[in-house]
Amino acid sequence: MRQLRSVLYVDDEPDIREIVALALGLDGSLSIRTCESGAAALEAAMQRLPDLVLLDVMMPDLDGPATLARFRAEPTLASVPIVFVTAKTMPSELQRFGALGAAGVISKPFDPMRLLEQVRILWERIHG
Amino acid sequence: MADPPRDDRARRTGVLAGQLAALGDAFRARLLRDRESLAAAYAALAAADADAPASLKRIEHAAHRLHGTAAMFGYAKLGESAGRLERAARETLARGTSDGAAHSALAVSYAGLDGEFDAALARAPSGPVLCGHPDASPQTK
Repeated sequence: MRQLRSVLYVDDEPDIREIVALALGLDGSLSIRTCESGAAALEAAMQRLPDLVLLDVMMPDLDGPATLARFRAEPTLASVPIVFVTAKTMPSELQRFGALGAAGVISKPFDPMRLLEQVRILWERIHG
Repeated sequence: MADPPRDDRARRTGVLAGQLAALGDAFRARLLRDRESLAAAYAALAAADADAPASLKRIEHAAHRLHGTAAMFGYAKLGESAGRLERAARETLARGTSDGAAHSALAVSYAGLDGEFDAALARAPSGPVLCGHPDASPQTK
């Protein structure tokens, strides 16, 4: 299985970006970048393709689903797996995220001490 | 993604717990400022109808931030109240500031959040209380 080496986390909340960076930093070999908006994420991903994108759903301007659509529309980014990080976890919402092409969902609030494990499990599921 | 040796993982976990505790302390220290900022926006809304949309946007933005982060630091009820205020502000913006029902909902949501500020500020600092805390419950960001 391909190893997960880089993650791009996108969230307009600086506190949560910091928590995610710290939590995923438990794996010292993982490269973690964070962005404050969908537009910044597209730019960052174009500069250096991440293995995995973790994407907040509710953001101003370009929200999570719109950002995912932009990734899918850009040939160089189209195949990057995208996982939504959100509290919108009603069955209908999960179904909608799946239909949009999300590779998975991580529920908010999440336990930072377990986030890395959750990401690993999702990565294995994506590439299993 | 490599698995670090057990000792290194334990060390990293300890470091992470400390870093999260510091973030939680900083969040709690900001609560008073957040409350004041919301109160100022709410007072401006009541005082000047001409600037109501701008005040509502300030309220919505401040509530959105709290809604997104409070539960991560163990303040789930504060986050839920902030979510209600965020939705009420958005609704009032959509319906227009002259809509009495929307304004009433906004007032109720604001009062509810203000009460949760009291409860949160009265609580002792709790370190990296994130998920699994008794106060933690699913949010609706």
